[in-house]
Amino acid sequence: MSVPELTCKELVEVVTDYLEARMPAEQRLLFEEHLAFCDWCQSYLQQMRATIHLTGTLREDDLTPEARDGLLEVFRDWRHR
Amino acid sequence: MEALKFLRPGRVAPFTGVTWPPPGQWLTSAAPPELCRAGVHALLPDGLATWTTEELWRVELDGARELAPGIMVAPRGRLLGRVEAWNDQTAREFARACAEHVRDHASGRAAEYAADAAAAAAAAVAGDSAARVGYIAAHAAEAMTPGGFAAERRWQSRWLADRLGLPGKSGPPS
Repeated sequence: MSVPELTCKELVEVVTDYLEARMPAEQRLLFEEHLAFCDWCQSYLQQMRATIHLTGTLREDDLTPEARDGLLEVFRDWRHR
Repeated sequence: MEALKFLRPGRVAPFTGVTWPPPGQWLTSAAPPELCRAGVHALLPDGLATWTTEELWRVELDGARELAPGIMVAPRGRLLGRVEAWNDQTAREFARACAEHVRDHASGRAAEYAADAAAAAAAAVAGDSAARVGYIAAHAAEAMTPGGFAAERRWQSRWLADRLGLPGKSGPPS
């Protein structure tokens, strides 16, 4: 395909760069062109923004011990991959 | 200069989520204009088709530059008035026009895209679904001819400008 565009999968891979404004202008344009017609990726982006907003307000004391242990287990597992 | 801006319901910018002030009041960017990152973004008529959402507004831009084809970016802008001709009915007309424009000449893969566009056009509204039909139809055009995607987008934009009574760089669509 000769049309320059992002797929949904590619968009998911670079969403952090978009949210942190670390994406080159040409790629930002492709990113937003994809969002213009893809409501699934719009929802995904909204979920990411909401997650960042909510987790940005959490302190360690806000977590239950079970939630804290669960998160640590996920992180340890991820680091071992 | 005057340009056009698609917004979500309630004058909300589709990507930043910024709510534009009421018509006549300036919206000013906190940072220098930069494509898709900072500044007030708006469209020339030839760039309309890619960005359709629920509301279309005429805007005045101050100090605008064209940073991508059909995309103007300025330090500040203000709404002048809503383009009432853009609504669910004209969005459905737009979607049908997009589907029909590629249907007659499509074969093979292009015909599959064209059929998808025609099916989606029947229920298209001014929000995401009309935008999706235009996108699928442009892919049908690309499947027929390399470079067809961009050419079809230009045709779609000219159709919109003509149907909505907006001034365009080019004449009415053929």
